[in-house]
Amino acid sequence: MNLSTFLWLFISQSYLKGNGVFSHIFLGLAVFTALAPAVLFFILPACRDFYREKLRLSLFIIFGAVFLSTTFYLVQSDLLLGKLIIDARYEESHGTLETIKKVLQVSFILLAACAGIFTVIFQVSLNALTADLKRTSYMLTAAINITLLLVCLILVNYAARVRPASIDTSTIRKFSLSNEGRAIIKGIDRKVEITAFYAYFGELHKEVELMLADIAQTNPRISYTIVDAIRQKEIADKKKVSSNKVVLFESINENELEINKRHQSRRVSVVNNNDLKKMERDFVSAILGVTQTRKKIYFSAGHGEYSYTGPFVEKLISILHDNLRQQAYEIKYLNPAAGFPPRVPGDADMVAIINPQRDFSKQEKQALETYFFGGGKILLAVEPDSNADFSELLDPFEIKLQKKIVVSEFPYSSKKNNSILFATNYGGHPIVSRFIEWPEQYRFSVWPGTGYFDTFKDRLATHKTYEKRFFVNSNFKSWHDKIRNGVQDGKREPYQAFKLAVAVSLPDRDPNKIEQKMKPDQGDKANRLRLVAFANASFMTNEFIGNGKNHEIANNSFQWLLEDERIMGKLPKKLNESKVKLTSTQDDFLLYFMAFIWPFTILISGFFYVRLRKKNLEHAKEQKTG
Amino acid sequence: MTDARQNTRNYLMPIWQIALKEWRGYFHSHLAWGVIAFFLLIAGLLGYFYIKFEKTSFLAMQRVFYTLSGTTMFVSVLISMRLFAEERSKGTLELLITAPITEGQMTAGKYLSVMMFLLIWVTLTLPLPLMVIFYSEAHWGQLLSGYMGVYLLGCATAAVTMFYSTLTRVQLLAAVMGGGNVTVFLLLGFFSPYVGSPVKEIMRELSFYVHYMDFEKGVIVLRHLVFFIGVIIFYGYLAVVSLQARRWR
Repeated sequence: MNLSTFLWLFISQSYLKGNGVFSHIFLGLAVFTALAPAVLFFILPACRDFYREKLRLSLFIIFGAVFLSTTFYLVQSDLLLGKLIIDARYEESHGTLETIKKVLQVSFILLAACAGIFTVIFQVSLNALTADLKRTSYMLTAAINITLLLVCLILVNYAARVRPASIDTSTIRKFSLSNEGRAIIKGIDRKVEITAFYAYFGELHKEVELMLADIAQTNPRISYTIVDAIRQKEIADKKKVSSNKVVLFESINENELEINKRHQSRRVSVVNNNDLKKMERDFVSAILGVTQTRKKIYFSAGHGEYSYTGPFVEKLISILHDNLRQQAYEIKYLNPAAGFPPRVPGDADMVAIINPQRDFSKQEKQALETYFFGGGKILLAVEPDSNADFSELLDPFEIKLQKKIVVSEFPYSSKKNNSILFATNYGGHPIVSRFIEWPEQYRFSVWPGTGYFDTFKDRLATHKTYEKRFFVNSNFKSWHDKIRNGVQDGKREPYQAFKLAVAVSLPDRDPNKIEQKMKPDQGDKANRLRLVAFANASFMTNEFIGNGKNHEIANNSFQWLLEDERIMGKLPKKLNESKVKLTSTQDDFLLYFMAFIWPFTILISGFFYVRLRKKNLEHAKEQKTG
Repeated sequence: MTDARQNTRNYLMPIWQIALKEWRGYFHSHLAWGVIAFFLLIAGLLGYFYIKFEKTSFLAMQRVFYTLSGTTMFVSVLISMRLFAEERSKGTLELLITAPITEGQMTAGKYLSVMMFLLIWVTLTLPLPLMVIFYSEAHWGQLLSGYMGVYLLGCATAAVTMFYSTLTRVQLLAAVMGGGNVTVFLLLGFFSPYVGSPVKEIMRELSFYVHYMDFEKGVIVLRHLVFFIGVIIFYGYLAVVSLQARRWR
């Protein structure tokens, strides 16, 4: 009767989910089988008299355990407490309700186990009334030992589940964090909840779960659950997820002043094996994205810059904008409405000036200088035909922008374009440091109609007060296209390498003339100024950003300027998994060997071994009798 | 030799002797060789098709171990069904029980023989995943992890069937009961998506396949190791209790 109680309950609440007439019927059955023995026991005096006192106690315990267990199960089910928890998702009471649910679940299981154990004890005791005491004692001891062993094994399994440990022996550890990723995750100091929407036993479910388990193991503040969006629709609807293969990262930012922006969330789709390669990068970026205060990037406007919207899609920088937004950066515009000029807004984490056609006014330049030398971050991308002049920003670092078109030969493209330069040489800087891992033919970048940088001195200078790195250089087969025909014209246009991009940072307090521009009370903030300048802006447009390493250079520049080196340049894992390729001979060998030769070799060996042994035994027997 | 070491040696020696005797016995009949050859053929055929048609070498290796897990479970059931059922049917179980060894030593010895047999079986299947490694960029780590999972799965299945072989004198019945129990353990995971918490979590925790899946992918997780060892210990103890119960009658 007790076992059947749990069976009816299971069918009613878990299988039928409490819906429909049949669910209620099974629920009624469960209540009946839970209470009927107790009712019978109390109603029928013959039953009570039959059992001795100790047995009556066992029965009381069994009935009580079953009743309480049933009640706790019903209360914690989705019918009651589960609904309350979902409704209180973002309220303070949510944590309390979750704790209550867990307590009820543990209690329900313990009480069910208690009912089971006492049923066994009852049965054994009953047996003792009529059977041999010694045998009964053996049975009781065995039952208790088995129960204790089971409890110990459950506890050990629970401990192994709570304190997980694993070794990832797969190629390049694709199901666990790299050392860098682990260091980043360990540093997260805010709670993050991850909900992965995958069908259990579905495609990629296990792969995603292994990575999430490793992340949760690395930082206890991060927790995850796996939900089937099709079967658990109410949870999916609450999270506004309509299908599987989506991972949702959520965190509450208590420091955010605007209440409606406190809840931060990111979504990552892991749909196929290609996505597995960048799974770690995407997950770590998403976690950083929901736990960091949103950084603000101010784009300059009003001087003919490339913009987010416009009539010619290929001339926009909308792909770049969207990518920055996906990384949780807030995009704003530097215009009079934002208070510029006379100053750059105080909440600007960086300023991006991309392809200004007209020069900035004196007041605007003053505002930019004040911002920059006060510890600001600026990204400059200026075309050779631009009228804008930023020598005030570049001169202190002995950099000069040469507005002359440079081009190169085309080793990596079959399309001839006489104003495109291909670069494959990168200097030692975090923005491009990862590129050296790739072979030369896969690390090219495309620079249409680019100028170049020059230094005041002949050699590259690295002052101890500031660091300057020309991190993108053209190929050695590049030339200044004076005649503008795209063809290298002998000695008039000699081959040389040109500097296309420069990054400047100020690690220590600067005693030289740069300090004159900084306010004395800026202190350490001023030391955090950073500048990235490109002698080209078109490489960031929709037309060219997808070529070669253009997108990574642009993206990494923004991340470096915003001091997000932790997620910068995390390349997808290099998974060289291809199909098993067999030649015709190998194919035949594999089939015939594995399916026929090997098994039959074993069979024949066994046959002869058994025959030989039989012969030896017979021979030995004959010798003995002989 | 100190007393403790001598006592340990005295306790372990009968286990080893029983194990050796059983292990040799496996190879003295055509049945064991036939079982090995048959399941090698099945594994070889299925493995060949997976290697040839799977999209990547990783998936091919995963599928090879999926095949090996199934064949290993069958081999475990067939080998362990006779452990005690055969003794009972021949009438030699009473002799064993009255011998100066405990039921624990007897069970441990017989189980050790099955573990040794499974080791031979696993070694004989080695050419299959080795082919994947030689003809592609598959990783040795996945091979080691996969075999660990296959071996643990085989040992757990053998422990379950060994317990059932103590309950009956009919070997086939022991195989059916053991196989049925293992099937329930396998199916628990597949039916878990259809139920709610906490029953869903309990079913997944008890599922053999859920605990095996990570080994296929090359990840060795401690709680899966603990689970399989727990199953082996639990059913091994049940087998011991079942043998001891004969004394009560």
